[in-house]
Amino acid sequence: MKVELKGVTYKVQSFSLGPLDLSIEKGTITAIIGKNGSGKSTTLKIIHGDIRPNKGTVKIDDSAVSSMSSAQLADRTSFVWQEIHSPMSFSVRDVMNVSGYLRGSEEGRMSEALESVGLLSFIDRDFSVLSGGERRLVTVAAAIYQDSEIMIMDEPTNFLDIDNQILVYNLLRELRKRGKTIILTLHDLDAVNNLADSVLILRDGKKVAWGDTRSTLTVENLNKAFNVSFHTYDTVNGSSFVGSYRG
Amino acid sequence: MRYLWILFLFFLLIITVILSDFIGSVRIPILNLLEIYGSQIPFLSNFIPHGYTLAQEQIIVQLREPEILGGVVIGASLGIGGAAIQSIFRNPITEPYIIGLSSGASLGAVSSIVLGLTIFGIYTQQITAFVFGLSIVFIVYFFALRGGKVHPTYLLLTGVAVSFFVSAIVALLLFTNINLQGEAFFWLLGSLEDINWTLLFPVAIVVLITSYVIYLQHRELDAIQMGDMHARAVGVNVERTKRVTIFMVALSVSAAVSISGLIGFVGLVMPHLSRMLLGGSNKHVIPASGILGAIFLICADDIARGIVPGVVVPIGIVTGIIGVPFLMYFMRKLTGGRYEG
Repeated sequence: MKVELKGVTYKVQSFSLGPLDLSIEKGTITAIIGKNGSGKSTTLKIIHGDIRPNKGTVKIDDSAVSSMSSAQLADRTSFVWQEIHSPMSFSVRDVMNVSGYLRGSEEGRMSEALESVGLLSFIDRDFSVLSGGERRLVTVAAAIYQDSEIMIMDEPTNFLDIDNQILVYNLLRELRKRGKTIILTLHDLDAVNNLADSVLILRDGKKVAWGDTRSTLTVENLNKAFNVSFHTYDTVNGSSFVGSYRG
Repeated sequence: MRYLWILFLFFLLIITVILSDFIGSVRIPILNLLEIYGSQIPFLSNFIPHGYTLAQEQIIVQLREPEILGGVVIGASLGIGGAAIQSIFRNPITEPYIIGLSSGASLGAVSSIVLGLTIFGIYTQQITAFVFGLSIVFIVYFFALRGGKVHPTYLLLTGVAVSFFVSAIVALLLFTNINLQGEAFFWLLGSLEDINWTLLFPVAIVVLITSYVIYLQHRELDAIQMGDMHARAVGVNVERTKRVTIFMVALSVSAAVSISGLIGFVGLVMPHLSRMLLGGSNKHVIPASGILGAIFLICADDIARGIVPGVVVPIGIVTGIIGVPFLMYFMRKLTGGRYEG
C-alpha cells in the first residue's frame, strides 16, 4: 500500500510541522530521523490519523486517512507506540489478543509472532512484570500479529540491548520482503543507513531532506539536522561510515 | 482453567444463596426449605410433598428470597459496573459511583423523602432515585464531551466535581429537614431489607440485559485499557464503546441502588479480586466480578441481619468493616503483595 502526504502542516502552541510532501512506496522501509522534539512522532501520528493536520491530506492508496473509520484504518495500518499503558493484570496473551481484535484471535499466528521476537515462552507471563525491552518486543510482535499492510513504529528499538536491536532490524527486513510498508523513527543512524530505503530528516518541524537513503543520509544534511559535527570515516573492514563521535 | 474458576464461583454463589435462606430469627429445617424451593418450580410442584407450614413458606418466599436475590442482582450490577468503569478510566481506584450515580440517586431519594413526593405511589423514592442517578450521569457525560470525544481524566474530574455539587445539595436538604434525617440516613447507608418481588423483578430484568450488553464489549474494553489511541489503532470504535458502556452501567447501577440505597465497596473491590484470581482480561473479569459481587453482598447482608439479634445493621457499614480486611488479606495471600492493579 502506498502512503502519500500532500502539503501537510500542523501547528500546536509554538511548534509547527511541515509543510510535508512525501510519497512512500509499498514494500519499503522509511525512516524518520531528527533531534528530540523535531516532529518525528507527530509525523507518524499524522500518517496514522491520530492527529489531524491543519492543512494538507494523508492518503493510503488514494483513500484519505481522515475519512477512514478505526476499523478501516486498523485493517491497513498497525502502530508500535513509544509508550504503552500497562493494562491491569494483563498477560502477554491478553496484550496479543487486543491486537487480534479485527482479524480474530488465532493461536498459530499469535505463537508465530511471539516466536519471531523470541518471546513465545512468555505468552502466559504477566505483562506488567516484563522489562522495558521485553515489553517493547511484545508490542512489536503484537503489530506483526495485527497483520496490516503498513506498519508504523515509533522508536521500536528503545530499551533493547544490541542483540534484540539486531533481531528487530532483521525482522523488519523480513517484513519488507513480505511486502509490508514500514515507516519508523530511529535514533541509530548506522541502522538507518543499513536498513531504510528512504529517509526523512526533520529539524524543528521543518523538512531538512527527504529521499532515498544513499543520497539523503549525507554529512551535510545530518549537520543541518543536529547540533553536532558528522564525519565520514572508514571502519576496520574498510566500509565508509557516517558518525559524530570518534573519542 | 479460568472457565473452571468461573464455574466454581457460580457454584459457590448457589451454595451461598441456599445457606443464606437459613439465616433469620425463624429456623426452617433443610427438608422444608427444599420442599419450598420445589413448590416454586412449575410442573414439579405437584410432585413435591408439602410438609412445611404456610408461615414458613411466606418467610422464605416473601421475605428471604427477594432479599437474597436482591443481593445477587445488586451485587452483580455493582461488580460488573466496577469492572467496566475501571477499564474505561484505566484506573484501579474508580467505581460506578464516580460518574455521579451515587450523588444523583441520593438526591432523588432524599428529595422524595424531604418533599414528601408520592407521584409514583409507594415506589416514588425508588423511581426518583433511579431517574436522578441516570440524569446526573447524562449531565456528567455531556459536560465531559470535547469535540465528540470523552477523555478519561476529564470525565473523572467532571464526575467528581458534579458529585460534590450534588452531594452539597443533598446535605443542604438534610440540614434543613433535620427531622427526616433518620429515614434518609438509612437509605444512604444501604439495605436489602425492604426489597420485595415487585421491586426486584423490573430491576433484575434491567440488570440482566445491561450486564449482557456490557459483557459483549469485553474485547473493546480490553483494548481501551491499553489506551484510547491503541484501541483505535487495533480497530475499536472507542467513543461508541465508552458511550454504550457508561450508559449501560448507569442504567444498571441506578436501577440497583434505587431499591437498596447506596452500597459502597463492591464496585471498587470485586474487579480487583477477580483480576487476582483470573487475570486481567474482561472476558473473565466481568462475569467473575458479577458473581463475586453477588456472593459478597449476600454474605454482608447475612452479617447485617445476624450480627445484632432483632436489628438489621445497614449493609454499607458491614461492607466497609468486613470488606476492607477481607481485601487486604486476599491481596497479600493471592499475590504475595505484588498485585499491580
